[in-house]
Amino acid sequence: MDDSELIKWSKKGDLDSFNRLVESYQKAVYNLALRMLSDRQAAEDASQEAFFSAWRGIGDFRGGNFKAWMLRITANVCRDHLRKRKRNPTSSLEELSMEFELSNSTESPEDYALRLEVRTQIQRGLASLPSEQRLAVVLSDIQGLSYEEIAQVMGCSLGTVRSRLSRGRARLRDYLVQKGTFSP
Amino acid sequence: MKFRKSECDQTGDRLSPYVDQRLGLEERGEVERHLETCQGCKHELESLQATVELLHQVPQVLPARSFAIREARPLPSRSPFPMMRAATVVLAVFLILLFAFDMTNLFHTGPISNQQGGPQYYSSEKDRSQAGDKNTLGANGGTSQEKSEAGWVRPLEYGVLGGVVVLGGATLLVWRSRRRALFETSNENDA
Repeated sequence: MDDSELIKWSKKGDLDSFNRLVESYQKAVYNLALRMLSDRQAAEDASQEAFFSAWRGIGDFRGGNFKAWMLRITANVCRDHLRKRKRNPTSSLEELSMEFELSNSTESPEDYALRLEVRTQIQRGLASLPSEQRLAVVLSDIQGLSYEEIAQVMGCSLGTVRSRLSRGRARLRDYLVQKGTFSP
Repeated sequence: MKFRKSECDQTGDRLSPYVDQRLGLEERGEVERHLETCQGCKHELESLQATVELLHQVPQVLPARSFAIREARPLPSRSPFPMMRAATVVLAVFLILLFAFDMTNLFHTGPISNQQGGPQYYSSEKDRSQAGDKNTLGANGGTSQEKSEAGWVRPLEYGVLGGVVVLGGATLLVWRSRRRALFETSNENDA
């Protein structure tokens, strides 16, 4: 059964069909939340909340790109989490050691450590960006969405996407240069 | 070669869409001509490309658990919005009809003429007696033109009007909160 069939049945209240959509999109949703919130537990909570919201609002989905619609809901949930975090700054951010990648056989321990260090710096750099710029960068360069899809997710024009992406990348580049990840 | 700052600034703004091949032919040509002669902007482009390349290498992390919905949650159609919207429309139509009937004097609430032979409408004995008192006063020097209305019409009109306003407002609030929950966009932190 393809997505449009699953969406049709979900609109009729079929939870099994909706859960098959969840399976298809949970990786994208979770990764967006993880890069936006930099905290695994918060990302899991946000992902679950996003799927609940989508289930409640599936009747409002008017066709088109379901992934963009799902990521838009996720982005809104993340914004709410970030707002709450701003209001309650005592809630601690998880240290950004989320990359539990195994070293591949051809990689030396030094290279592996360096790779993890770079990943950590990237995540810290992302976390230092204003949330809308971070969202644009994550959607474009980590999730691989087109400008048009990003505009749908962010609910803004292509010009705004271009500007947020440009500023976000430049700011991240400056952060990485400052941290010595690479030379200017 | 030295460039005016504005030319480098302009190129700097275009580097990100240039990397994504999102520039038009003319803009792309301008950027490439500038890059051929400006080492500063060329370095900026290279570091930007390196940043994008690093981001592309960030792996997608598998979630530790499934987010499938296991418990029975409210079905998608359970929102009160459609019912509230329908109720608002019905009440508004009823109000319009009420006003229309009132204006066409269907409730016999029109002006009461005390000219001889003119029509006199009263909705109740009480109205009749009140009007009689007033007419008596009129004959003694008071006003001679009076109006009377069926006692229940005005309160009903105001009641329905209030109902339309309250229900319409509540429907609007439900609609907005529903939209906000799903599609709110925020421009905060948009540097």
